[in-house]
Amino acid sequence: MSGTLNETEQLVLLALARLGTGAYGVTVRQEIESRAGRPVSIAAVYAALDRLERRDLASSWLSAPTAARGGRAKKHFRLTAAGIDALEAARKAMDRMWEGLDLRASRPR
Amino acid sequence: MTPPRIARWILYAVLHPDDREHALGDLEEEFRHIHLTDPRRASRWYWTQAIHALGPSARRHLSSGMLGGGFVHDFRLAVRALRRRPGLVAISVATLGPGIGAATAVFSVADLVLLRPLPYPESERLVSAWNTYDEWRGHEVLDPFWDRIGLSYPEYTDWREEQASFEEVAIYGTALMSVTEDGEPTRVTVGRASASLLPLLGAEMQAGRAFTTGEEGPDAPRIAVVSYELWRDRYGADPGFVGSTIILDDLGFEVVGILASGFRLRPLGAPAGPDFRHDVWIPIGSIGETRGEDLDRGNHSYEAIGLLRDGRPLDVAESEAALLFAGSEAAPGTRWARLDYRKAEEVGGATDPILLLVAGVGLLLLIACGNVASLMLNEATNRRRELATKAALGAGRRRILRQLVLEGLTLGVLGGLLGAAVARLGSGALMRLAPTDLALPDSTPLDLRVLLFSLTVGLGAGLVFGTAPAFTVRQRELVGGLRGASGGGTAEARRAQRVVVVLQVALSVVLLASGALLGRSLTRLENTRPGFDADGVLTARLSLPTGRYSTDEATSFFRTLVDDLDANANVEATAVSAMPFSGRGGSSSFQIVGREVQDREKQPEAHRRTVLPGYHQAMRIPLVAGRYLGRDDRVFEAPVVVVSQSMADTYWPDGSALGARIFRDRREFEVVGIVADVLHGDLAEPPRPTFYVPLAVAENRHDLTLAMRHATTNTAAAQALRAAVWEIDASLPISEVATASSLLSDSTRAPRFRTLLMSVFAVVALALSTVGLFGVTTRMIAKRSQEYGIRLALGARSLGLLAHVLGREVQAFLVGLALGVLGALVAGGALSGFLFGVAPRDPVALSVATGTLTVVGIAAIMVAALRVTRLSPVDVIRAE
Repeated sequence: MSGTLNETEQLVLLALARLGTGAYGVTVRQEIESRAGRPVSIAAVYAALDRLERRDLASSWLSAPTAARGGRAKKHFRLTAAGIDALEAARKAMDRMWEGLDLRASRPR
Repeated sequence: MTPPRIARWILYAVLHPDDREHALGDLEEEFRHIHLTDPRRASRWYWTQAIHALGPSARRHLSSGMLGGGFVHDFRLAVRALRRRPGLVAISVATLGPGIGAATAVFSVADLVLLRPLPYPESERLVSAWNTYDEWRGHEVLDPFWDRIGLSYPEYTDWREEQASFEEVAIYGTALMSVTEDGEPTRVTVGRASASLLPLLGAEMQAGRAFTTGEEGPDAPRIAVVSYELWRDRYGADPGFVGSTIILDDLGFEVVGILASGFRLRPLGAPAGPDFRHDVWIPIGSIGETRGEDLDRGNHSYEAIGLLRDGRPLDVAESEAALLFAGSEAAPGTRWARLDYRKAEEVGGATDPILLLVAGVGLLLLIACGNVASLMLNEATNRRRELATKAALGAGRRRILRQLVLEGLTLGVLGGLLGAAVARLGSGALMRLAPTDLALPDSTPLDLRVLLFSLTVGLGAGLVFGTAPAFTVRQRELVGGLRGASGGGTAEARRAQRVVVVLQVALSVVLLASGALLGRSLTRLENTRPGFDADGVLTARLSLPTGRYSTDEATSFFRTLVDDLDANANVEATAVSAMPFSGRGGSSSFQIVGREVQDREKQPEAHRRTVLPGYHQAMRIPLVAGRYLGRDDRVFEAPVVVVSQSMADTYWPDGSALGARIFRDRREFEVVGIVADVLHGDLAEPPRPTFYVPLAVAENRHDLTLAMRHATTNTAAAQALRAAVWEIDASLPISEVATASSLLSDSTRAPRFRTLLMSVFAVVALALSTVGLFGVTTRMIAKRSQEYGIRLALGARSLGLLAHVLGREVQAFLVGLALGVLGALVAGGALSGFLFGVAPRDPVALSVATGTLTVVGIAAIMVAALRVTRLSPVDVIRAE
């Protein structure tokens, strides 16, 4: 797997960056849904987090179970340094693609 | 306030085990949160999450997940393991391929005939409706029709006006007519339809329109809707065709529409081949009463079809129809109606023969799988060292089993692919051999369904023989396998192989016995004498247009034609309204003078044939008593008939038939002769009472079949016939040219087809189980060669060893044979509907099956066992 990120991965990493220590499944999902306006399922979030974790772009730890969660544990996530680098690389790539571009001029009539 | 249980269960099942805990926790937390404001939205939301989890989770499971990690890796290992054993792969795939191919070919037939919906919109709600008449049950002539009597036009209009169960109902009839504009006169199949028929079937138009309400009945206009195919083939797809006039039996019909290509409707009353199509549709009533189209309440000649309202139960519609059909005429309780789904009616008698083939090919496939399973079992024991090494390196039992199963599945898929290819070649041949009443197209495209079927069968088979060896592998033995190379632990595998062989032998007996039963039944059937001599008889149907020929002109036409043909030496010509085995025929009610019955439906009924005098002599139908019809019997004042033996026995059991008088068509006939019985359409059916009316006094004199016994080739005879017909009337179409023998042999096409396929299955089963027996014996000897070598070294005789080996294997064989005989007895019972003149437990068929298998099977064991006599103790012990 190369170093590039797909869109869902970028969204998830950005959510981790925004949420800081409050990042776990529920908040990540809600952050993407509310801010990016993109409906996303919990399974898709975890699939992306799983890939990111295996590439060391995110890390996780478990906290104790609570009653509000039906007695289940919570898995917290955090962005790693490599994750920050990957996000910045992705941003730069996009910026370069956008540089000096005026889409209104190239819209077909 | 808990999430929907089923959705949670789905999530539990599909979520990756690593994520299950916290993902479910997250979902529950959010669910509760939403639940506070909107409980229903919370449930919906949870369900959405569950459904969306299916996609990503499946991908994760495949790449790493739930199957325990490394699925792709294990698949690669399985492929690699198989590549190291090209022989095993080749044999397995070569065994499975034809088996799966045969199964797929049979499936494609079953799929086409039984499973696919009819080609009409809402076809699952299309229903056929019939009159029934209880008194006809068990009747010599009418029994087959007691619950499939058509509707008359007035019955239809009453029904249509008052029924509430159908969105629409329609009736139609089928007739042959001649089109004669210019060019060669052609016979076309004409559908006479109520105006509602084509819209009900959702028929699309290439151009123009279908009939509209009111364009039917006594005032029906002479308009026609033409099939796309006739428009293309006869009228060269003329773009200005709509609005022109076609001539049908000398009547002009204005073409108002052309149907879209491919539209067809199979009539249920008559056998219709795969290419059957109505060429022209005209409204019921448009031919006119004077031309013989009567719209009476008593003319039950139309087939009825209806589009059931959604959700309306069939039995409710049936009770309603029964009331409406009966009208005020019928006595209460004598008439009823029978409704059935159109699909079931069309499939009709084809279901059982197809299920028979499905069962046969299923057994065959099991036997083929048995051989592969046996091979795989043997492989599993050979690979004990490899598997033990894996176990020692930390692979769990589950992991090892999974690899074995994957190998089986891979083999199965390969076999499935070969099977699909075999099916592609085979199904074409199958369809060409198949009896035409199955109405199959000549070939089927190898479509996705059929391909999927092959692969599914392959996977299923792979699962069977992949798991079989897996069950013989135990953790404890895996460890043991590393220590000792061979010995003790393989007993289980050997036992499993023996069980497989026993089952194979049993299944083979079932197939062989079934094939033998069908074969004996077919022989009986084909040796049944039809009652006339079919050799050297050419037949052709001639239908004189009623507009151009009066009744008397028709009579003289046939007389002149037959005289012309007879003038030729070596030719004996005659004419009859329906040749035996031509699929045509008809019956009439009549009165016996002195024993009149008033109730029309209780009057005696028998088959009626219109013949030219000389018919019985030409067809070599022997005279039993009295005399044949003679030329002078045309005398109008004293009409005579000849009756068949069975008619004489049925209606004059005291032997007084000769000289008796019968009454029909406002006329009295004297019985002047009794002729031997002739079978009319089915060799397996007893003869039906028949009376023969001479042409000169018959009602139908326009549509006859000419029969010509000749001593030349069929081609020359057909040419002579055409020349003779066209010399009298050059615009007359000649149709249905055939030999009487081919009509006869066509009637046994269905049983021949079944028997052929079952025999092929049986022979392949025999070959497969022979290979199985040989293989198991060979491998058994190879496995125990060390033991045998030591025995030989200790002074055992090789003949004694041979007897020892034979004893063990023959014992297993005999167990299989015994099981097979039991199975064959059960199978015989299931086959009884297909048997003619043979008992389901026919001892001959059973002995043929067991005898063949015993000879071939014991020979296979013997040949394999002889290896033991060639063992050299020195070599064997050195090899260890």
